[in-house]
Amino acid sequence: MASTVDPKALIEGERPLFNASYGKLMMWFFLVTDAFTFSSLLISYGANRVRSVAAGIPWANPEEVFTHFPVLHELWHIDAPLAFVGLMTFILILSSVTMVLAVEAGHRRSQKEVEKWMLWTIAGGAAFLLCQAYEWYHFILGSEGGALVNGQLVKGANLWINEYGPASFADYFFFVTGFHGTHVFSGVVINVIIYFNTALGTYEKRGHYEMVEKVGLYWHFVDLVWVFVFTFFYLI
Amino acid sequence: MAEHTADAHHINDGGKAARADIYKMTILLSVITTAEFVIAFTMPAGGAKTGLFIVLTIVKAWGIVATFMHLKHEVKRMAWVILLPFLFIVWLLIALGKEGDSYGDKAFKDSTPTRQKVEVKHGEHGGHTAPADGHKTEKQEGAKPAEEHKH
Repeated sequence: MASTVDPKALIEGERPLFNASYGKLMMWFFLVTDAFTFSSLLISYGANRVRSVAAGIPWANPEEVFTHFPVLHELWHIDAPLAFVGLMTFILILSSVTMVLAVEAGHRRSQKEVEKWMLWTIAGGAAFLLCQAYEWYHFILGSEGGALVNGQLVKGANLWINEYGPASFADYFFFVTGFHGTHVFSGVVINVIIYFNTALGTYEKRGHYEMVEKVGLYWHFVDLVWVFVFTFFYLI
Repeated sequence: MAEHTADAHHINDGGKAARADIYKMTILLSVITTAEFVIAFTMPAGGAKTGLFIVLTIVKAWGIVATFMHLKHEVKRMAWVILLPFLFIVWLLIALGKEGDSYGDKAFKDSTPTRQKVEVKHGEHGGHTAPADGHKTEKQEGAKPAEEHKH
């Protein structure tokens, strides 16, 4: 596991910095900037929330907001607080695992294995996106009864008003999970490209699978962001 | 194509330790996520709970970055180049915590809505009274401009 850079992964004449290829290093630097964006969003969410509570406006209670679980909700009206988002977290973690297994198979230049694990990763990402669509659908439509806000019946959520808490709660929810979901979506698209490149033997011809590794970094980052979103939006 | 035939026994030696590492981390991440889920319902809300969640989140983040993203196997200097900029994030946390007051006061001044959940009883089937609901949502639409003024 010594970090030696594959000479084939280097551009002609390149002297590797930190023993990593240019492409990999640049992916890391991009991820640092992206992490700054997400950090800023989450920190401003936190500041907003703390100020709201200090001003006497209770924040939304995630256990009461995210209670829908497919089938349980539709057929029996059973509430399963946070269970669905827990499932989403597992799906994303597992797709991260299959991704790292694809990277590992790439180190051994085992084309068939890379293909297999890339397909699982794509499936995990797609499943996560479907789950998110379900989550948004119920967040927007709201509970059956809704809530009386200043004596007025409000159902579900939009950018101006929602039944769960201050308007900024829904605003941040839409923006942060939406921004993360966009990352997942681009990740799935890139993973599909990587899958086809692998299946067509592009990397086999190239002699190394470093593209899988670089895209893997991006995919793990998406999982990493979700770990924070899960904690700050759903648990706390 | 010679590599293809060599793969069969590469699985037995090469990469075996790496895979063991991956599976170990998978179990750790799953256990922590399950623990978080349990804590969410068993522990009373408060500073201790929030603190515990943040610690567990950082452990998970470390696991993903170190093992999945392979950072612990990279050159140390590279790891520092990536990690040190996050001191700015720490700074932002402190700065917004201390200086965010004036912004917060402006954002939340004279907007203390009262909120009351409306319960729906599931006696018989057909508890969904669609026409009445539709009417009420219309009223909610009308309230939007008033809400906007508060921002």
